[in-house]
Formats: sequence, structure tokens, C-alpha cells
Amino acid sequence: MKQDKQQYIDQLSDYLKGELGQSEQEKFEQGIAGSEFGKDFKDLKKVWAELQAMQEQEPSEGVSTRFYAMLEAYKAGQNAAKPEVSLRNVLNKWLNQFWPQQPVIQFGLALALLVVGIFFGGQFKNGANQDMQRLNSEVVGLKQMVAISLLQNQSPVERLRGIGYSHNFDDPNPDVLSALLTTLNFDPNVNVRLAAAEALTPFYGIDTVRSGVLHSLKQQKSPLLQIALINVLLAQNEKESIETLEYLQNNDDYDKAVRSHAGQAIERLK
Amino acid sequence: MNIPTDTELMLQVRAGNLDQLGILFERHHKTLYNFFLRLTSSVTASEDLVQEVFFRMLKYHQTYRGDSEFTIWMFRIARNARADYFRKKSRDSDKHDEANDSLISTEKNPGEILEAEQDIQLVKTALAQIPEQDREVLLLSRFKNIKYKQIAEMLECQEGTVKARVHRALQKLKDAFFELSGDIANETR
Repeated sequence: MKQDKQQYIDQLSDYLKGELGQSEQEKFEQGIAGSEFGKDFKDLKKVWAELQAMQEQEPSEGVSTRFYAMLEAYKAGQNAAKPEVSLRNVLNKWLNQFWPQQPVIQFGLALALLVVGIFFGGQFKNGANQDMQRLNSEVVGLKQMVAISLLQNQSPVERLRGIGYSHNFDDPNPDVLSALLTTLNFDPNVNVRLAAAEALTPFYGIDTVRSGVLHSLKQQKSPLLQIALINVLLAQNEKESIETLEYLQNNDDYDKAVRSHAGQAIERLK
Repeated sequence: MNIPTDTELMLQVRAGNLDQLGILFERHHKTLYNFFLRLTSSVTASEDLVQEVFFRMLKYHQTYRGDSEFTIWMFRIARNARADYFRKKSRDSDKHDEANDSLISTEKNPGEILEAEQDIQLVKTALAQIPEQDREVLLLSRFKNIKYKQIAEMLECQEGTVKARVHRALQKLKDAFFELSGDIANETR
């Protein structure tokens, strides 16, 4: 059977990839055997077979660890950006309907509760409570040291653990906050920085955190992180950030999505 | 129970069920890793690129339309990620780690190649020697579950063009392979 080159290339490609049916395969092999492409076919078939025989290699376990850490960090970042729909909010809303709306009645009620509190509180002298408080503060201090030490670890997974640890503190000491801000600004791993942004959000009311987050926005290179920080500023209704957001919006160096997000944030903050 | 397809899983990710990306990762990260490994000859770069591909899937999950197969979408992201990675690398003039990290040596050292594995080692070496575009089309066509039609979609060209490119790349691979085989035969003679 005479073959032209184009037909040969088409059929050979299908043959090698197994896209020809059984009878077509046999027909192709018979046709090619005595043709001018016989030698070429034999050589290419061998090289193709070697190519197919190359074994797949396993990536290191770090690939999985990094992926799942990234996924968790991303989810955490997303949750931080969402408006809070918590049990507390729902409960507050429900209780609000029973709470008197007039300030005079509210004040009177609060005063009455205070008097009752002082009366009953005086009944319990609490030496044991003081010991318990001291012990608690020692444990909290220890936990904060662990968190700082994890944040300085070389492994991104350990640093993420450190950030997770810091979620346990209602009132973290300045060293923890400073370590989190350093992580937010300088950690080489974008997922860790993202998690640090999320961890700092509850403490936005603290001056150092507030100025640190505001300052960080311009400094960040990752669009994902820029968006996460814009969301934090939005959630805090941070009007002082408008100037920075305008800078982002009007600067071509920033990602298109970031610029658009900054624009939307400005609209909402104004 | 029906096993969800890749496309179904990715549509769930798009809908906000991000954990489903974990299943897609388990299904595809090894394939992607080997694709990058053969393309770049660097373990570090390949691992970074796998991470980058899944990061981009997360970042752009809402843009997944589901009208083309997940694999095509994934390899499109993979090709873009690889191009960006090396563009950035060359901008940073930081190529030493790839050189140090090279998995597939292009230096011929036939004495060290075990006879049983000789041909496979040779094809790996030959693959590293042909131009990157040829290597890429061969690596994509090597996957049994990816048809020429899908490769054509990924590369944004006609199916016939893909076949012609595969043939041309295979010719180059053959030349490199037999040249290396000849060198070994001469050295062991």
C-alpha cells in the first residue's frame, strides 16, 4: 500500500497513542512494512516504547504537607474575610428584643445589677482564686513563649502551628503580636503570611496591630495577601486606609484584581 | 456509590467546598510533578510548580467554567505557571539551584549506566537534550488519558498540528537517542 507522508504522520501518531482500532492497527503495520517509511516506523516505535517505559517518580512528602498547609491557610483567610455569622451574634440579636430601649431604664437596670453583684461578690473571700489566677497566667505565658518559638521555626508547617497557637490567646503579650507582625511582613511563605493576617484580625483594636496592618498593605507583594488585608481593613471600617487603598487602586504595578478590590473597598468605606 | 469525576469535584470547589481540592490533589499531583520533572530536570522547581498550580486553582477557582475537561484546565495552568516561574527565575538571575539540583544529567556517562536500565536512561537523557517545546508536546502525548484533541485545546492549535509536532519531536528524540546509543556502543567496544 502506498502511503504519502502526511497520511503516514497522521496514522503513526494515532497508532503510537493507541487511538487506532485493532483492525486499523494491523492494516497500518502491514501497509508500512514494505514502504519507504518502514525503517522510520521501527525506530520511532522503539523510542516511543522507551518513552512510555519511563517510570513515574514520587515527589517528596513535603509537597503534600505544603499543599494541605496552603489549603488550610487559604480557608482561614477566606473565613476571616467573611462577615461574622456567629452564635454570639444570633444570641445578641435575640436578646436585644427583650432589652429595654430607653437609656434611663437601661441605666437603672445596670445600676441594680451592680449593687446585687457587689453584695454577692463580697460574700466570697477568695484566696484560692488568687492561686488559680496566678497559675493560669503562668500557663498562658508559657503558651505564648511556645507560640513565639514556633513562629521562628524554619519549617512553614511549624510556623503555621505557631499561628494556630496564637488563636488561643484572648490577650496576647506584645512579643506575640510583634512576632505575628514580623511574620506578616517578612515570612517567605505566602500561606504563613496569610494565616498571620488572619490571626492578627481579632487584635486590630490594639494600636501596634492597627498601624502594623495598615503599613503592611503597601509592603505586601502577593495579591492574595493584599486582598486579605483589604478585607481586614474593610471589616474594621478603617477609614484611615482610604489613602493607601487609593494608592493601590491607581498604581499599575498592582494586580488588576487587587486594584479593583481596593476600588470597591474605597466605595464602601467612604 | 458513584466516584465523582474531576470536573464534578472542581465544580464543587467552585461552589465553595474547597476541601474537594484535596481529592484532586491526590489524583493529579504526581502526574504534574513528573510532567514538570521531565520538563525542567529539577526536583525543587517541579515541587514548587506543583504547589503553584494548586495555589492558582484555589485562587482562580471561581473562574472554572466546567465546559472543558478539568485536565485541560489543569495543564493550561501548569504551562502558564512554568512559563512564569522561569521568567521570574531568569529575571532574578538565580539559576544556580537548578543547575545543582539537576536530576537528569545531560552529561553522558555510559559506564555508570546499568545495562538493564540503559535504554530508559538514554531516553531520559535524550529527552533532556531536545528543545523544550518538543519535550512538552511529547510529555503531554505520553499520557494515555489525554487525547490529541485535548492537547490541541491546551496548546490552542489544530489536532493535525499536534500530530505533526509530535512526529517532529519524536524524530528529534530518536536522533538524540540513537546518537547516545552509538556513543555507548563505541565506548564499550
